[in-house]
Amino acid sequence: MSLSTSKITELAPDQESLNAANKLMKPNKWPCLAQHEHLVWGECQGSGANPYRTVFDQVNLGYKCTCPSRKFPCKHVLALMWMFAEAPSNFAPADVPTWVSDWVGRRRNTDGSNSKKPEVPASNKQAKSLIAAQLAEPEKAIDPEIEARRKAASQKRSQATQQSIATGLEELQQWLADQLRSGLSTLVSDPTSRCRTIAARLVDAKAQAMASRLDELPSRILLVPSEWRIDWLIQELGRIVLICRAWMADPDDAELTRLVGSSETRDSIIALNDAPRLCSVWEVIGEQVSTRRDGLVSQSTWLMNHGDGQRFALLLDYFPASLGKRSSSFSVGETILAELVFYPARHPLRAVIAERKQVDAPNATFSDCWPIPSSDPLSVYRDVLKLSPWSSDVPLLLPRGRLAQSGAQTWWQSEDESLCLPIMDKPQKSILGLELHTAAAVWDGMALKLLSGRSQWGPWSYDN
Amino acid sequence: MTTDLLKSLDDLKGIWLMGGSAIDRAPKLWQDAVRDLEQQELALVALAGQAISFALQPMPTRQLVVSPILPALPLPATPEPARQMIRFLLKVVKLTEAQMADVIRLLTARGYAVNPIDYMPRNYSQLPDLYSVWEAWDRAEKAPAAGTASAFQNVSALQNEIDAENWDQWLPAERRMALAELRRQRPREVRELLADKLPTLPAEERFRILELFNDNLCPEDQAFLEGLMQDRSSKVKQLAQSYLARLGVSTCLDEDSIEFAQFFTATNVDLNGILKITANPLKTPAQKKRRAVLASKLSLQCLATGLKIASEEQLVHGWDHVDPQASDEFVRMVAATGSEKSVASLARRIESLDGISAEALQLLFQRLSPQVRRELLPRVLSNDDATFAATLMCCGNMLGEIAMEQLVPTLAFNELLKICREEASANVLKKDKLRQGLYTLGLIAKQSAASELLKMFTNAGLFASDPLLSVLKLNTCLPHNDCLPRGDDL
Repeated sequence: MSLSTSKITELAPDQESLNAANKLMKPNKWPCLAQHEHLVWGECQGSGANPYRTVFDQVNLGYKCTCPSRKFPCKHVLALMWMFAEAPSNFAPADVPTWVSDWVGRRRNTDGSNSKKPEVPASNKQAKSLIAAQLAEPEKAIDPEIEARRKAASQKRSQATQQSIATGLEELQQWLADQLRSGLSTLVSDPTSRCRTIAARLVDAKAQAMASRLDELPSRILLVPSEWRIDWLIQELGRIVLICRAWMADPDDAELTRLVGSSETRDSIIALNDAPRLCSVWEVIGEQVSTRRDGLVSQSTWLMNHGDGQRFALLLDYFPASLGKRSSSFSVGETILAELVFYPARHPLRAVIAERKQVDAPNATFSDCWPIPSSDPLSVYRDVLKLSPWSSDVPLLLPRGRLAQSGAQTWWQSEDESLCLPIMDKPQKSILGLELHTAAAVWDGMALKLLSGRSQWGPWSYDN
Repeated sequence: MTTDLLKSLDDLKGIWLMGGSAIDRAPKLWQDAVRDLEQQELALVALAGQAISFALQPMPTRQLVVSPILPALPLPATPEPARQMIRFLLKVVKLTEAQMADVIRLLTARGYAVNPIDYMPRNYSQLPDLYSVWEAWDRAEKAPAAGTASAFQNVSALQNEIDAENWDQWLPAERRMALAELRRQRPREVRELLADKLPTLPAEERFRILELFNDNLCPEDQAFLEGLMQDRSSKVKQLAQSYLARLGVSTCLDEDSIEFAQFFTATNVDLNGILKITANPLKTPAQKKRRAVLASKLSLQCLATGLKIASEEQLVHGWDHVDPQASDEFVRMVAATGSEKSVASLARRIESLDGISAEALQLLFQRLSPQVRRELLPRVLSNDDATFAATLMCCGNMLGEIAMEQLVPTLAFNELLKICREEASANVLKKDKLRQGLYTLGLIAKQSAASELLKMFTNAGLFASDPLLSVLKLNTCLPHNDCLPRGDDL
């Protein structure tokens, strides 16, 4: 089946999707466009920290996109098809990347057929047109008076939000004091009902990020071994107190507002002139996916810099759990040459990809030589705490060591046995037998979450 | 200083745990720091939290036990492109444990070992012997408290030959490997050692050690094997009996031999004394069951005696394939109790035994030397179906050796190609046959043949990225590692 524009029109769920696809048809939105035989794929930088990976099959017009859209096909697929139909020569021939092969594999495993054609519902065959999508929307004239009113209203809303958050945080501190008065043992034994009420109150007060933190506290407590729960709880409550007080002292602080209310959009971060930027070769060292109580899935992609400057970066995305399992944008071990823009913070870590570039050298060149870790990896953590004492998850590079067991708990132990740190989850069996030449991990003040590293058997990753 | 801090923190934790104000119990410095603040208790929590983050580190309550280092195998790990394919096979194609055992046998035949980061076996029974050190490591890792881990380290460090003194230091898998090695060099010492130590082992371990006698069975083993006829385990006894039968020592009862012989008719075909042995038609399931029981219990020599035939070889030569079930039982009997000559003779008649099970064929081929097996595999191939299941079973550890010119003329290969061409309209059964056939071809084909097969099947309509071709692709990423011994020697 050859891909024609009429076929794309037929596939589009509605005219709005075609309009949106048309807006995406700009080369700078697609750092990667490639093809191999019947498969065509690309990466589109969307609103999230990770780019969306989009692929379609020319033969049967099967498609897949990692975006959370509920429209099928989404605007990214339609844009990819459209660009390919108009200029296939813009798609460089390339080897099929693993994520595309995985998709092909899963399709065969699930439906067992390559020739099944997607059925177009009759309702989709209503009037839709690529030409209509290409018509430029008339630019609206900006009325200075309306603009001034809009700004004033926005400022008023912002002040009202700050006032609301301040009230919410006052209540939160009162709640914290109550917990200390009534005993933390009660909070540890019944965290869910105690946290739920204050979390709901914080949502009302527009302190969304702090509400989620409180909402997640019960499940996080349960992950901590019982003998360390009280220490963990004091650490966490202490961080919350520090955030509350620091925000009240400076409600306009971007980092603290992100921890209390809501975070900036990707576009606003890229538009910031003073946001830290770093173009380097980044290796994907780990991915953590967790479903939160509020129905969102949090996807954390950890990157390590192979060049100079900031060592680690975190790409953080959220999407509704109701959309089902979402494919990862990157695989562990993959290296990318990209410019990252960091969210302004005392110790910048969270970032978005501003621009992906072509890597000239093969992946192995970077992945074989990891930076040399400090002999005291926790000094990095302590340095971060000095800058932002409310920090919890800090990525570390661990020196040579082994995994060891103490009862049911697994520990990382340095080669000279001078340092041992507990590990949050039980590792897969083979890692226990490895000599860990180096390891990247996230330390939360109480336990390590191992990500990946190097060993006598080569690169390893925790979720292998 | 640190001790004071720890004590203060313990005091604060104690109070907060039960509920109440801890200001009075805080260190003087902290009290001064929070004196002018609102909600001093909260400020104190923030300070305590920071102190825990900075100064406290969780410590193990029990002694840390480091697992032994996963030992390196005598083969190098798979090259990177093959690793990627293995990860793809595990993650996307989702191969089963049994299929991964096949893939590992292909790796071994090419001179590579799987990287444990990609795949750590859960079951070692189907894997080549070289993985026994991982099995030993696995057991040691599972039971570190029982001192197995130290035993594992001791043996790894020793690198000695096995003897009566260090017998108990060896873990079962390593002990078997050590015994196999010693048997190749000094079989008498092994017999003496086993006569002393075998009775102390559990039945399953006795059986697995006795399986080592499958290779290089010789008349000198007879006395030792006769000693095992009094073993407590019927499985051990039966194995010893089958070895004795291969050596020409009959242990069957006369009445059983006579009863079994009555299921067959031996007739003279010509004046030269050429015999034809035919299975008599049976009327009831009970009769079939009885014949099967006797076939599994008795030796080939017993049947020859019962039929009054001078030699096993005459019996094999004269076997008339009229009843597939009887032939199946006969092939299993020859595989278990026949002499080397009888086994090779029957294997050469494989084309005339249409309808016998692949499992029976596998048992027969396991008895053949690599040379004879290589010689006879094309015959199995030419009679196989499009799944190539029988060929795979008969290959044993000799995977990745079938050349393109051996494959192309076979009916099975052409049927597979035909299914591939009509894949879009093929039914589920045919698609499953295609999946199984391509998987097996990936395991049995030579590297050069695998490359050609990839081209042929993509020309026939499969996409190059189709996961059905993934084992063939893995095969093409595995050049034979010539610096190391061949897979079937390991």
